[in-house]
Amino acid sequence: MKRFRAAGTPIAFAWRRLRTRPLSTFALVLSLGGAAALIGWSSLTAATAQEDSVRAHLARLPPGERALEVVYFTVPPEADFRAPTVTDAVRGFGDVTGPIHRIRIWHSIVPNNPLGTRIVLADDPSSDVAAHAGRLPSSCAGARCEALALTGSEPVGSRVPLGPHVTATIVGRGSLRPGLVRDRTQLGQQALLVRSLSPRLRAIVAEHASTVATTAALDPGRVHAFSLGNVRERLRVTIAELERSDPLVRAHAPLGVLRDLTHRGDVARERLLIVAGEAAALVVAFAAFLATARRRESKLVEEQLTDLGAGRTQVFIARAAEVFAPAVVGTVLALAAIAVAALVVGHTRGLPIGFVRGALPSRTIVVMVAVGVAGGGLLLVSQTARDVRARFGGLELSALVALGLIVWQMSTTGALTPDEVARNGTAPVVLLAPALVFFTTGVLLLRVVPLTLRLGERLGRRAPLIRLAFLNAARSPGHAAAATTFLAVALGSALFSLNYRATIDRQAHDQARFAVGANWRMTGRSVAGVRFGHAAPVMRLTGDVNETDPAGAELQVRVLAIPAKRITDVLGWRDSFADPSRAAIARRLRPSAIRLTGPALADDARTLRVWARAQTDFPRLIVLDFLLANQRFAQLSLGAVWHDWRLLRARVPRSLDGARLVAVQYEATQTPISFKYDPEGFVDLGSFQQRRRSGWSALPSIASWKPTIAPDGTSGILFASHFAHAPVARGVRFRVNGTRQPLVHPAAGLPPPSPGFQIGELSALASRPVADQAVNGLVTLVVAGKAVPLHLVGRAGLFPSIVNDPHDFVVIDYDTLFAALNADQPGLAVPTEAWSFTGPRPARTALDVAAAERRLRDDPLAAGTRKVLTVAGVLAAALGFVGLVLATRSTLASERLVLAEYEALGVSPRALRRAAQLRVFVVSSIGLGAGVLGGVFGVLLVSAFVAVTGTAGNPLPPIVAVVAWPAAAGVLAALIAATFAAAAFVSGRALREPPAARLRA
Amino acid sequence: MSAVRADDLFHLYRQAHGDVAALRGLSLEVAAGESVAVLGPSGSGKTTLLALCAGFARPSSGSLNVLGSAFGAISGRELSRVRRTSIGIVRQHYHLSLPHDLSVAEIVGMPLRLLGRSDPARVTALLRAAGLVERARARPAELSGGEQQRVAVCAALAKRPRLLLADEPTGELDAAATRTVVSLLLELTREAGAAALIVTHDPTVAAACARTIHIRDGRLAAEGTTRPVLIVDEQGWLRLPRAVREEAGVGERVRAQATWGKVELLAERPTRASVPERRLEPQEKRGTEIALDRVTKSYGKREQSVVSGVSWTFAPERLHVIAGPSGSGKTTLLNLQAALDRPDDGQVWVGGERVDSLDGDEAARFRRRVLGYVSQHSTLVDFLSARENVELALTLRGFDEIEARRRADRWLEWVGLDKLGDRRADRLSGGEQRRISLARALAPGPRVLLADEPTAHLDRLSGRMIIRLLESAAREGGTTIVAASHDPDLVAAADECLVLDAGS
Repeated sequence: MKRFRAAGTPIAFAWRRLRTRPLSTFALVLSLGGAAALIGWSSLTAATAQEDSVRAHLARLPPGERALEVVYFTVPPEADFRAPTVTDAVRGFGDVTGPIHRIRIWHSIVPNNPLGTRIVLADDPSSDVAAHAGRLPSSCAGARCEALALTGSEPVGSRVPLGPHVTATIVGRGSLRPGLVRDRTQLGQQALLVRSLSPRLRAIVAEHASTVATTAALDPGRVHAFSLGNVRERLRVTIAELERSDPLVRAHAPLGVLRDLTHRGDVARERLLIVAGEAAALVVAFAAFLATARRRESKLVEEQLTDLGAGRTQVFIARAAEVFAPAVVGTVLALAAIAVAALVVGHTRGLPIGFVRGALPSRTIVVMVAVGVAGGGLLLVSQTARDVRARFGGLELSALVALGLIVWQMSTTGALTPDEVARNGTAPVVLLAPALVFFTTGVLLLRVVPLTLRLGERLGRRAPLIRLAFLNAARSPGHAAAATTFLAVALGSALFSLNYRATIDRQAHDQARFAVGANWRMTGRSVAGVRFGHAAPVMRLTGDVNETDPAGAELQVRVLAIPAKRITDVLGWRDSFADPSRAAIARRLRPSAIRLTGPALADDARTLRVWARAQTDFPRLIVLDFLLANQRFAQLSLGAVWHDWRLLRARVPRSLDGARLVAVQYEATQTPISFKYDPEGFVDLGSFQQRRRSGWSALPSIASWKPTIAPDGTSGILFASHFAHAPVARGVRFRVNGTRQPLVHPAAGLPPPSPGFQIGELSALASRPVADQAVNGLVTLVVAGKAVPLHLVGRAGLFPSIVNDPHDFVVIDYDTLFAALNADQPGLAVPTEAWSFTGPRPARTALDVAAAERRLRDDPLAAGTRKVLTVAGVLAAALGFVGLVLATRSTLASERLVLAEYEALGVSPRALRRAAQLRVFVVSSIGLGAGVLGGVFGVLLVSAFVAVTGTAGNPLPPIVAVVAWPAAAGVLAALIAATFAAAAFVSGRALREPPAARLRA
Repeated sequence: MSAVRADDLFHLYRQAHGDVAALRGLSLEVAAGESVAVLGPSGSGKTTLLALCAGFARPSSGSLNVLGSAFGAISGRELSRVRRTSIGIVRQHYHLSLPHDLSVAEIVGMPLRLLGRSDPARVTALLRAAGLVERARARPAELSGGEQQRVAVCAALAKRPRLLLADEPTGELDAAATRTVVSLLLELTREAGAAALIVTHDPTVAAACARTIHIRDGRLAAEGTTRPVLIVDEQGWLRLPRAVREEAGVGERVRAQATWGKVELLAERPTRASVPERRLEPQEKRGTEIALDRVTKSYGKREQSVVSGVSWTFAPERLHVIAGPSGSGKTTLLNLQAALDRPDDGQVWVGGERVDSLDGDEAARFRRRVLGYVSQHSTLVDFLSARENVELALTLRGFDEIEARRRADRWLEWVGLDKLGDRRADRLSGGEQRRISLARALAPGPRVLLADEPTAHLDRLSGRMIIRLLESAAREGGTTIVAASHDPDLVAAADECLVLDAGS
């Protein structure tokens, strides 16, 4: 009892002090609780943003890419005994998925024909099948069944025999909903969906194997971020159990997607925690700063207790209780507030109670408690008076060691290198960097400020006002140092947050432009409909580069063929990507004009004709290849010729209006299967003529065209010729000359083929790994089945729009590669994309740079990060201002006696006011200057922090730290203005009181 | 067993500019139950001795045995235990010593509760002895200075310590309160059977104690009060008090002549402080220097009248003292004369100029032109030297550097600190700092010097030196000096004295 009383007395004493100082107690609770609440708020923000992000991301995915799919085979004559097990397994995820869909596809029911008709049965055709034409089938009855054609070409109304005595009438054409069957080849060439199995049909299908696919798509509205890990684990275990239990069962779930989403959420939460942690540290530092003003009182209390007989432990208990009681209360209130806020948010969004646990995980709670405890500890230490004139002590040593460690770690591990960070993630030391920088700044200022003030006093001896200002500041160096430190830390934090935010915004801008490469980009089938005028045709292919080390290996590369003259228009380019400028690259990629083009058909040409004969072993088929306006190819067969002259005709379809003739093929109609056969002979052609409205007109001669070189090196010979005893006097003769690729095409400006190649050297820009494989500046690229020698004209680290394997690529001029690949084989490589740099938005756009940027910015995680950063920045600036005002007020209040004495000595109040204002300005300037330096250093850190973007992906292009000049200038200007205002206002108030009152106090 | 036994005690303070020896071989013994008054000039080591006896610091060398424990050797925990259980402490600044959040009864009972005990009867008995039973629930802010100090004494003795340490317990009290507090302190100490070691400048306190010792320069220099016996230490050194030296006009060198039982010291070159140039021409003085005409001043929300209808004149070239108990308005009158405040009613004339209605800048100009001011709190800039502090005041008043340096040197010499001119202010004793303040105030050559409690917090010797300087400045320097004080020595030295009662 005695011990309890002895321990309880200092606690009761502390409690009494807290009660009699409600305002300051409230301020302590608010600041320490606020700091803890910032942590909790960041966690809540992250959790909320992650919920939105998961929902949005899953909703963007096609159902098939977010479905749990279990596929198994049935083998006749066994029944479908796996159905209950599989259905139960899938049903077990009913809390996170939509309805279960089950499709059974019997393998071909046509004997000896694996590509024959397949019967498909869906549990719920009305939701699993979309009818594009006709209607859904009704039930089968007896020998007649209705069916919907899922594949094949049977028209509606046709009848398809399904077996003896069973016929299916096709009543519609349609398709399965996306995602029901991942492998569409399961449907074969003719798949018929029936509503049900009649006994006869059942008997038929019972003899055949089947594939059963059970799917359930994850419902974006029911999958929650806080349970992603749990869902993923359940899916993983279920898949493993199903597959292990039966070799004919295969299951698939979007585990990778869930893992990525979880990772994104963790990264975002971590980053928000860092930012909120910095803000919380600032709030705690603010409280500690205020506590320094109460050092004298704290020391007094200590002496009072000691004189009354308290031991050191009891004194410590009293001081600790006075600080930690508000810390505990504040932390508890913060926890409660965040929990309530999470409940409200969850309820508003219709989220289950698990959201609260997700918003306040145990880790966050621990951090919040740690902040409260650390804040209390810092306050406890801050209240201990310290002689700032003391020697170099443990504090300074630890600060120097910490700073040295950070600098060494960052410089040797590349923790500040964006590329390095993008590869390896953010090093832990970087996360600690801001806090340690602030700590080091504080310690440094504690040393530097008093010396600076004393120096200023010495230098200002000839100017009494200046001297007085520095003198007064130097009298309480600890106070000045504390005010300076806090201002520096506050401004540094504000600038760091603002720059961080600006960098994230800029990164979204750059990332969108880099990813898209143009204002709009069309891909896929829509490209076929583009008539390239404003839009630029682009080919995006995959190729292989033969490696020299190790020899024989191949490096897979992305091949981007873009018109060289448009390279200077490409969005997302940075000069740092390559040494040569873009203009130089464009010139080098297209040193001479290369273009696959030929005689153009008139728009009103309706018939083509040509006199032809062939003196060959077998008749030859004359086929014309045309290049269309959309950079596609079309063929027109004129017919076969042989020994006698024959006038070949063909109707020119409207689709060939304006098309250009780019190849003439002399196809063999027969090819004997013999190694000894060498095709020989020649084919004569007159001039091609087109019939227009105005009559027949000849197309330009193709005498200057080039024959292709076959892979075996053989090539025909084409030359102009005169014909005797022929219906035409002049034309061209093509000697087969043993070639099995009898095709002629315009020269197109292509370089002559390199030895061993069908194609000549093409200029290319390559990435560094590709360039490293070059020998004498040449690499061999195999693309679209052709070996293409490339002459490297430059190296680049990155190129816009190449985001998959971004470091392995080659860039070639579009016309050059197009001609090189298609001249010999028209249609081998066609544009895969259309890039628009100007003009109105095309109707069908796959990628829109503005929309991409908007998506990045609006991503909930990025938005959450920006929100936290804005709050942190504003809070830091506001605390800086408040700290400045309070420091000024406190300093002048503590100097009332001194100021009164000066006035008694005859110094005018106006001079004292000016000296006080100057003093405030000097101290603030040091703090602001240190804060700006801190902000500059913070810019170095920003890249590392933003290394994984707001959307937690690997950033392309690499992050470039941005200084938010307008906002930073605004904050700095506001603080400077606040300095002036505080100095004027507070000094005026402090000196308003009569000197006698100050002397009396 | 002795309560305190110190043998050849040394103690060094570590400061930024070097180590300072506060005690230099002090030897002392205090018997159990004995009350000992400790006198000595500021900086002599009195407070350090108390701090060592309380266990707040450890001796640098020598031995110190307090209540049977060797304070230089025991662990910190044991030391703290001895202090908590057996030592009571009373400090000078009662308004800082008492927790303002607790009531009187709670403060007195606190030492018992900190020991895990509860004894309301004991608390009541103490309060009754102190005459504060009815004020048991009051907070310290509601009590007078004397009442607060009585509370502090009761709290210190509540746990019946075996040793009481008191540092200037009556330093901030008037005479009546001093008597009450001393009486209570010694009574309760006797009742508790405790020894008492009381640092004081007050001869009243010294007279009430069983024994008086004098400490000087960190050593025991003398014992007794009326005719202190000077101590010759083991090395044979004898220290002459400054007062004795100055009375004899002894400077830096003396010749000693020894006969059996007697040593005569003959001054080689007697020194005499010289007053710097006279500022005032006789024809400038016209009768009254300062006049107060029905001056009234009130403070606080309740408009408590501090001075009411005071009319007085102060003749020029005189040393005037405004005396009275605490709260009688001494400082208020001084501040009104200095135009640091305005009266609610009445007029104030200084040097033929009415000053009661000047605005801030006009008042500052007036003070620059006419006044010098010395407050009781030293506000010297501690990292500047003595000379720099004086120069600073002169430059702030508009003197150029050269003139400021010249005047600073002259006035430092006048106050006897010319050899300490380059020493940092924080390395000077309290008395020396007060002399610097005086030099700073007089260096510009004001007609009038106002001094608020110029001898407060100084030991008697230092205080007497200040008084002599004030006398010299008034009578020889021609400065009209008005000092507010309750120091009887200063009152005795004054040419004229205005005695205030509370509120009049």
